[in-house]
Amino acid sequence: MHADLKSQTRLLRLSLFLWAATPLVDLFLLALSGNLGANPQETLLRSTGMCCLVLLLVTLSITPLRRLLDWTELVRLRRMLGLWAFAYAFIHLLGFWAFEHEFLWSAVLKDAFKRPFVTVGLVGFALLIPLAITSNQWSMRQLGARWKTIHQLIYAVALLGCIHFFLHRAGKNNFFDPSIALAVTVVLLGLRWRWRRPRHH
Amino acid sequence: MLRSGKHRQLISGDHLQSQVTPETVFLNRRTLIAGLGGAALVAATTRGGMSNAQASTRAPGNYAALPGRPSRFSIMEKPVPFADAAGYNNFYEFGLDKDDPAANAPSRLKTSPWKLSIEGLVAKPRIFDIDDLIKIAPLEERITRLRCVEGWSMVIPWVGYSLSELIKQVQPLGSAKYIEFTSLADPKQMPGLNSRVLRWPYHEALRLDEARNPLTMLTFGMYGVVLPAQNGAPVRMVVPWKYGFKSAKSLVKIRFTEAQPTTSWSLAAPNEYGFYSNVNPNVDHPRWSQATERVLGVESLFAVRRKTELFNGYAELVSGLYAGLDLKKFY
Repeated sequence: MHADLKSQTRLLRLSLFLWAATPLVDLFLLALSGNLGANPQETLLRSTGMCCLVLLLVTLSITPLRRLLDWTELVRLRRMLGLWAFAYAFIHLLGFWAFEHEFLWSAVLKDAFKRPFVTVGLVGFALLIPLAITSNQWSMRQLGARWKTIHQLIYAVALLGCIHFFLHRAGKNNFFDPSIALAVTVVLLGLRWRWRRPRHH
Repeated sequence: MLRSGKHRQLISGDHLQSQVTPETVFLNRRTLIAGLGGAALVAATTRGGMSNAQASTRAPGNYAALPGRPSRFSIMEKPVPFADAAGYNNFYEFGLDKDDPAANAPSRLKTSPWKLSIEGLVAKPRIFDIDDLIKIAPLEERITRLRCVEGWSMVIPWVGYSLSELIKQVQPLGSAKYIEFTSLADPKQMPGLNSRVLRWPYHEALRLDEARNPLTMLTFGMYGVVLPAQNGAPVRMVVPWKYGFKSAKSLVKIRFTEAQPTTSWSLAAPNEYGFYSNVNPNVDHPRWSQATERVLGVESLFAVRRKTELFNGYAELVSGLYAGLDLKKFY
């Protein structure tokens, strides 16, 4: 029984890895073949942004799902999905740096002081960095209880991602997609809040 | 008068043929990936990238031909591939995404029969049938850069004639100071009218002297064929020295007025979109800089952004219209 569950999880993990990797491979191939449409830079930025947000939300849904399905093994997937979210965020930022600011970090920084959606995006990414760096066994051992505290930043990152999305859409009044993202985020965070364990000191 | 580097008389009519690039290999974006079951995530996250395999500046064969004589107003730049010009559009009446108009307009927009009503302060108001309208003056092909307020530009070979030819025919009265353009707003044909971003019908306007400038073009075609639906068929404006949204599409009415008309984008966001909306690198949009633009239709993903030019490079021809006008105040 236990062995079955383990191999099930392994299969699920492989599938999810491929699922998460697919858009990246797809975008890469489309870029090479010149099939990203009339504004390929925009397509790349939007696609990587969307993938990051989706993966963030999937990562956030692991714990609620584990509880609802009584499937502890699911937690093993969380690190991989979280790191994929970081990967897309990183590529999204690199794209912004390359395509919007022609490889000038000084210009990116200046933009962060000018445009709120850039500010929010950069802060969100900055918060992801410690999470990515500590996503390994060694860090968990070194940090102990602090590891969990640090990783609560993921809630802030998810919210910042939604705000970044809303701000980016300002002007078109097309808030349909960001609203869905926010609704999912709120539900997931709400569940976490409801199930929070009282602190033991 | 015209700078020889940019606006040169074209000798040959088949300049476009000579600029056709070799077709790139077509790669179906789904064949490699779909098998891995990644189609769902890909579809959810990469929608909007229209396949642009054919880097051809020739229109596909299924569009009716509409040739124009070479124009002295053409810039000597290579047009973007037809697929780009016809696949990346802001035409909110057909949806808010860039690929919505190409997806929705061709099957829904009925371009024949079509009438354009000229009304207001004119001696000879008239309702033109599109077939008569197109014959008022000889058609020219003008290669101009369409500079979108969003910060990208495309070089497009439009086919039409100067709006001044039409203005001559209808004889505006002395009291006429402005022209208002109205686009079609038919909920039966246009699914995007549900959107509350803009109030419909789409309105745009020019000062009468701006409208009379020979650069202002009443446009019926592009790339030597009739306008695709998503590009504002069957008749639209092209005002090359202003941001693209001033070039209203699918026109049904042109009205001559005494008072400055309200325009749709000024109504939606008056602090962002002004009446003039002249291309101006020195006047930023409140939410982004207008100093540079991304040139679409070029090969490299890492092409350097282009420095935006005052009046989109047409300063010699139009700056006289704005002598003494504070362009920062009257944006």
